[in-house]
Parts: sequence; structure tokens; C-alpha cells
Amino acid sequence: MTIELGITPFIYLVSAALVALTSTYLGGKRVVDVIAVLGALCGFIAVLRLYTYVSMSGIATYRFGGFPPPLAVVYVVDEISSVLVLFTSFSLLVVTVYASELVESGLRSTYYVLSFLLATGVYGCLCTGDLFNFYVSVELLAISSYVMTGIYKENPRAVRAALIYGVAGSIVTSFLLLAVFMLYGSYGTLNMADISLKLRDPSVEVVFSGRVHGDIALTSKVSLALITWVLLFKSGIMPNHFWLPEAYRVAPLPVIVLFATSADIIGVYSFFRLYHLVFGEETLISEFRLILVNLLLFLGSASAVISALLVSRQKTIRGLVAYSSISQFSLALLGIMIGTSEAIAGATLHLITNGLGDMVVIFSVASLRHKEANLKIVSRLSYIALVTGLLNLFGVIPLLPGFWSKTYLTLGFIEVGVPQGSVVVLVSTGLCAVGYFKVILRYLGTSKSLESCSTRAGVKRTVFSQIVLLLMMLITIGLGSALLLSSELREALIRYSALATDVERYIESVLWLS
Amino acid sequence: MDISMNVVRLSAPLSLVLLGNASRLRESAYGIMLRILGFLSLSMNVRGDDLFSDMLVLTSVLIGVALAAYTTRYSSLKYGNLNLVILVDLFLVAMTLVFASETLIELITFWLMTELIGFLLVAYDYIALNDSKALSAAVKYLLFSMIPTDVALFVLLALTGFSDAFITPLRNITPLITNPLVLTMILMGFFSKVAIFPLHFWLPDAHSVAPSPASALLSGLMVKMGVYALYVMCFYPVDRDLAVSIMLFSGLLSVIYGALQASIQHDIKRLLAYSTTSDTALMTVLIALYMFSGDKLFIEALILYVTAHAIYKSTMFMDSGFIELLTHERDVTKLGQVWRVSPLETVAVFVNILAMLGMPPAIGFLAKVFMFTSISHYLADSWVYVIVLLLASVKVALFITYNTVYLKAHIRGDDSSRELNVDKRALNVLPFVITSSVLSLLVTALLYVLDCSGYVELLLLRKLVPLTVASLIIFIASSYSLLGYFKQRIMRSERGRD
Repeated sequence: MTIELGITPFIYLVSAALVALTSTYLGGKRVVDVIAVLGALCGFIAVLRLYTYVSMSGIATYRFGGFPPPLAVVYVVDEISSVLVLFTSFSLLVVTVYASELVESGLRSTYYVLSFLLATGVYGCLCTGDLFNFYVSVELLAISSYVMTGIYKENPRAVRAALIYGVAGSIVTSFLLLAVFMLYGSYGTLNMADISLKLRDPSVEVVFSGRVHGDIALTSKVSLALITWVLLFKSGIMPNHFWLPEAYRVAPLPVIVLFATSADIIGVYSFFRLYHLVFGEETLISEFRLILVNLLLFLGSASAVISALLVSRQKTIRGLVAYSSISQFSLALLGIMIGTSEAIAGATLHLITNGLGDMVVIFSVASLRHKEANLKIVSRLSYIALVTGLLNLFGVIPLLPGFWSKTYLTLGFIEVGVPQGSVVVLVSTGLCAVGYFKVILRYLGTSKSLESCSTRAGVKRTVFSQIVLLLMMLITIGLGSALLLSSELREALIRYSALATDVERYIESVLWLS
Repeated sequence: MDISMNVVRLSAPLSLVLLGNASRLRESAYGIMLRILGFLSLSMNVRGDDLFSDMLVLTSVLIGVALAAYTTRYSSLKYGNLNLVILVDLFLVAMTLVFASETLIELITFWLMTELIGFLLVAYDYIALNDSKALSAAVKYLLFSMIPTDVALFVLLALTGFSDAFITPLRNITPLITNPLVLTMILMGFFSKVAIFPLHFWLPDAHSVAPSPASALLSGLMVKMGVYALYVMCFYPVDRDLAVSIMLFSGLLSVIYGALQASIQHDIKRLLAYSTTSDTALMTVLIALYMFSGDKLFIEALILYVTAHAIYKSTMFMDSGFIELLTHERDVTKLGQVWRVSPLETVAVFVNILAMLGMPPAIGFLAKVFMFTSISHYLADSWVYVIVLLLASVKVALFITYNTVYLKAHIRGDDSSRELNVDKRALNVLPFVITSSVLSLLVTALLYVLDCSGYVELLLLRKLVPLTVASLIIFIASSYSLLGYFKQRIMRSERGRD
């Protein structure tokens, strides 16, 4: 039992409530900013403690209300999800600091409330060990995403994007609910570890949830297919990507960063949980699972290459970030589907890399946009940061983490004997690179044509955002150099993913350990 | 080698070059001297355990020295600023460090850096002059040269494993290339850098739109990175039969294709670019024959050929840059009066072509001798050698053809009526083209400097000092008389015009 695991969502929810209350009754803008940053900071500290706990003593669980698992909701964090949780809560902190300068004051408190709700949803999706709680978290995160997309409600394009996202999203998440119902009907439980256990051995009887009912293989197949479709939508893999570019084109810049670093990566992460822990390899439906895995490998490859093609044709930074994210998420999906430790480590690192890259690119473009207001040195630094971010996304420099995530993915492909996969990785990299280099060259020459990334409000005080930008750039380079220099870190990543894919350990620590 | 030495050998050239590019220094002669010192300090990377990489490092150093001042003047004449200089310098340094890499990870790091800077150089006219042709050539370069090579490198790294890639020397690692598909992929990746069939088409665009000093490096040295990688592949456990047949097929096809294309070009830079394809293809064939027969003679021929070609091609591109600055024209049919402006330049180019064609004591002569002897030595063994010999001879014939076309840019019989419309400021770069051309004669001396132990035939060459000196004197004398002849004709025609 680790209290941090259970308390983090409450920190976020309480912060959301506090921000809403203060802005309504006190009206002081700076107070709201301070509360928001403090809330995000507390969340980050709690998650940091959680991460150190997991990295030292393995899987951590938290039972809400203290009830034993199949009865009540349990939160579980393994090595992979602890890394991702750490990254998402860090990005929430960074984006909150950044938004305190970038979002216009009228919308800021709304934005904070929504971002905390989103963070709660993301945290729930990454940690929950219960399928219904997973559905609730997905809805929480989805609804706050719809509102954030349409936050500029006087802009018709924003409303349109929010409608597309909202309507399609609601339909898709109702499939998730349907799948949850079906699973509950035949398993008598929604605990992921319980389902996994029963799917491996249907004769087992668990306290509270009892035995299975009827043909669990058929139900599992249908539910797996339905949930797969939902997750494809959430992670924006083609052909379910249509909402993503629309949303990225109109949302405020901090929101795009939040999407790219937290809301959209949970889709890919949930594939990992679903395909390796719940409906794993040695289950009754392993043949059907294999068909879906192959289908997803195909979809992922196609999506990676096609969206990379579109990246090379983008004229705006928002479009570039949108399609490049789709391409990178698809690559990460490929890594998850291959399923070797290296590939999963590569996929995890790739999600983080893409988040860091998008963050640096968007922040630096926002600050280049206000070039005339800034000092020369600031705009130079921003340009350097932009180049770093894009090269990180491109990922062919060993000093940047992008190189390592792609190497791990290649390694994974070679290990399972599909060298063609590495061609997909690098061809999509190359096609994306065309788009990245066009941006680098465009900003190198003139910086006049920056209308594309305009924000509604000007950045007036840019002290914080510059520091944040610099910090993010240093973190990117630091992570890359750490990977280059320390063989322990490189091995630790592989060890983490090997541990996280251990189904028996997962079931045991959720169900049997008291 | 201990870590401090490692740091010095990597950082000394870089810091000297960067210092030479500092804003105050770079316009003065001190800046150029600092940069030359930086290039010279690159020779610290010579380790003495592998002749091929040492030779490539020293050749890069020599080309760097010849290019240092040329780039400064070219950049200020063509673009009005010196921003090109630092890019070209870093490009050269990164590339030399590729040749000097000790481990796979070092090779990959510098390789990728070189490619990125190379991209910026190919796109330089887009950045500086907003020329969209440069951008499309750069994109082509990125897609068809960078990415396939990156695939090859990543796969190689993945097959080697991290610990070996970081610790074990480059030639001793054992990547498990068992799958024929993987081998084909890796080979295709390096083919794209060498620019031979089927990934050859990016090269003429990229090399002809880049600024001339950059083309000199792209064509003279960067393609050698591919050759070097293929050479390193010889040390790994691969399916030799498959590798040899792929390399021979692509190589022989491109030898003829490149040479034929070069012969029908009118743009002097495109002509040179196509001839590069042809030459690198022949180098690939030599590597394939080495894999096939296991005879080190082929590697000796390869080393000589690579050096000769590097110096030849960089000089030719420097000259094409000179012609461009002088006349603002690259079409050979509209040129032909260069020799009137500068007979010295024409003689320098003539010397350079002759050196490559095989005039003793130039290294081109040795390369040709070694290549033809090594192939002929095995003629009786397999029909493969007969075909290679045949195509190599055709290639030499075509070499003469396209160089004659190139020379027409310098000198044409019926040009007396044409108006001379030249920019005399271009003569500023003249001394450096000549330096580079003279290098093609002197580079043979490297064989006496470097450690050639293990290469018996190259050691034998050292006994030929008197012969070399004698032929050098003959060569110089004949070039001098050619210069005298040109000057006489210029005087006569001027008198005629009066």
C-alpha cells in the first residue's frame, strides 16, 4: 500500500475545486495562478515519491477504502506506468507554469480546472486496475478534452473541432461502456487482474467474484475488439485520427502540449495493459489476439508512414505537431505490439520523447512568435531550442533521446525477425524529417511568416516561459546524454519493461498480496 | 587509447575551427590560419592500425587545408557574407571523425552529424538565395540518401548490441547478419550513400546545387563514407556470395551509367556529379572483388583510387566554382574562354585531369596500375574478372570523353570571336585551386609517410623514389611548356586584335 498512489487524484481534484472556488469568490488572478502551480507541484512531488518507491521495490498497489481487490477499485503502478505517470505529472506542472503567462486571464481559471480534471483522468487511466474505473477515467479525460478544444468558443472552427471530437468521442466511448458491461456479465468482475487470471484458467474461483459465467472466450473476443477500436480513437492512429489535427489546429498552445504529453499517450499505454496484462499471450483467446496484433501492426505501419507523408506537406506548426504526433504514436504502438522488452522500452521512451519534442517545439515557436518583444539573445535561444526539439523528434542524434527510442524499436523489430519493421520506423522518420527541416529552414531565414502559430493573447511577461523553455531543452539533452553515457540507464529501461510484462507478478500483487 | 587523448583528438580540431570562425577573426588571415591549424590537428586521429582509414583522414586534412581559404573567398564573393564557412568546416571535421571512429557508436554519431550538416549545405542556396531548386534537391537527398543509410546504421547497431557498440573496436564487432533480407537492406543503405544503382538519382541534383566548396566535400569525401562503410562490412560475418553479387551487379551497372550520363551533360557541375557515381561504383566493384577473392591487392588499389579520386574531384569542383564566379555560367556550350583570362587555371585543371588519368608520379597512376594488375591477375579464375576488366576499360575511355567535354569550358578552338564578359574578382580564388591541383601530384608522398605494414606491394613502391622524382620533373616541365604555349597564343591574338 502506498498512500501517494491513492492521494494524487485527490490532490488534482481538490486543486481543481480550489481554483474554481477562488476565482469565483476572490477573483484574484495571481492567487489562482499560485494555487494552480502549487497543486500541480504537490501532484508532481507525490508522483515522484511513488516513482522512487516503484523503482526500488517493484509494483505498488492502493486499495480504495481498504477493501480487497475484486470487491473495490484498486490502483496499480508498475515500472512502465510509473515512468509515464511521472512524465505526465511533470508535463502538467510545466504546462501550468507556462499557461500562467500564456493563457488570457479571462479563460485561465477555466483552463486550470479543466487541466486538473484532465490530469485526474490521465492518472486514472494509467494507474487503475479496474475496467469500470478505466471507463470513468477515459470519460473524465475525454470530456475535459472536448471542452478544452472548444475553449475559444467565439471561434467557429474551435466549436466545429470540439463538436467533431465530442460527438465522435462520445460514440466511441460508449463502445467502451458496452464492452465493460459484457465483460462484467461473463466474468462477474471488472478487476483487470481477476479477468486476466480467469482468462488464463477459467476454472479458478476468486473470493467475491466467484466463477465465470457462459462462454468467456466469445465475450472476451468481442470486448477486446471493441476496446481496441476505442483505444485506436484515443491515440489518434489512422484511420481514427480525424479528430486530432482538427483539435490541434484550434486549441490553445498549452492544451496541445497537454494533449501530446498526457491525454493522447494513454491510448497507446492502454494497448500495453490490454494486450500484455489483461488479454495476454497465454490466454484462451491467444489466436484471436494474434490476429488483432497483426492487424494493429499493419494499421500502425500504414498510419506511421501516411501521417509522416502528411507531415512533410504541412504548412503550419500546429499541423506539423499534429501529424508528427500521429506518426510517433503509431510507431510507439508498433513497439507495444511487438512485445519484446526492448520494443516496449522503445515505445515508452518514444512516447516521452515525442512529448518532450512537441513541448519544446511549441514553446519555442510561441516565443519566436513574439520576437520583436524579446531580446535578441532570447530569440536565438528559442531558435536553438526549436532546432533541438525538431532534431529530437527526428531522432538521429545520439545526444537526444529520440535516437535511443528509435534504436530500441529497431532492436525490437530485429529480435522478432521482422527487419522490414525497422524500415517503417526509419522511412516515417525520413518523411517527417522533410517537414521538420522545412520548419528549421523557414525560421532560419525570415521569421515573418509565423501567423500560423498565433495565440489569442500576446506574451507580455515572458520570464517564466523562457526559463521553462530552456529547462525543457536542457532536460531533453540531459536525458539523451544520460542514455548515451550510462549503460545502466539503458539496461534499466529494458529491465523495467521486462518486469512490467510479467503477468503472474501483476496478478499476484493485485489479488493475493494482502 | 586513454580517455584524455580521446578528448583531445576530438576537441582540438573542433575548438580551433570554431575559434577561426569567431566573428572578429574569421575575416582576417589569422582566422584562416587557425582553421588550417584545426584541420592539421585532425591528423592526430591517424592511428596506424588501418591504412584505409588513415589515408582517408589525411586526404581529408589535405583537402581541408586547400579548401580553407577558398571557402572564405568563395562565400564572400558569391553570398556577400561568411556564413557558409563554418558549415563547410564543421562538415569536414565531422566527416573526418567518421573515418577516424574507433567504435560503432562513434561512427554513427559523427555519421549522422555529417549528414545533417550535409543537408544544410545542399539546401544552402535556399537559405541564402531562396532558390527552391536547392530545397527540392535537399529533400531528395534526405529521403534517398540519409534515410536508407540511417536504416542501415540503425540495423547494424541493433544487430551489434549496445555493449559491443560502445566498447569493441569497429572492425572487431560481430553483428549477426544472418537474414539475407537484412544484409540486402544494409547494403542498399550504404549504396545510397555511395550513390550507385538503385539509389543513385539524388546525387546529381544534390552535388550540383550545393555551393562549390560544399560540392567538393560532398563529392570528394562524403561518398567515401559509403565506400568506407562497405569496406568495414568486409570484416563482418556476412553471406559473401550474396553480398558480392549485389555489389557487383549494382556497381557494374552504375560504372557505365554514370560515365555515359557524364559524357552527355552540358552543366559542368552535373557532369562532375555523374562522374562521381561512376567512380564510386568502380570502388564498390573493387570491394566486391576483395570479398570474392580475399586478395589484399584489391584493397590497396581501392585505397589508392579513393585518395586519387578525392583530390581530383574536390579540385574539379573548386574549379567549377571558379568558373561560376568568373562567368556566372555553368553551361559548357556557352563557355570556352577561361584560358584567355587565366591560362594558369587551365593548366592546373589539365594537370589534375592527367593526374587522375594516370600520369606518373600522381597517385592516379598508381591507382590505375594497381587496379588493372589486380584484376588481370585473376583473369583466368572467373569470367567475373573479364567483365570487370572490360567495363573498367570502357570507363577509362568514357573518362577521357567527359573530361574533354569539361575542358571545353576552359578552352575551345573557335572562341576568338566571343565577347569576354568576366568578373575578375574571381581570380582571388585561383591560388587555392592551383594548390589543390598540385596536391594531386604530391599526395603520393603520403604513401611514404603512413605505416603500410601488411601491404606488401605498397611497401615495394617506396623503392621507386628516383623514378618518382624523375617523372615529377618531366611532368612539371611539360606543364610549364603548356603554360608557355598558352601565353604565347594569348599574346599573338592580342597583337592580332591590335
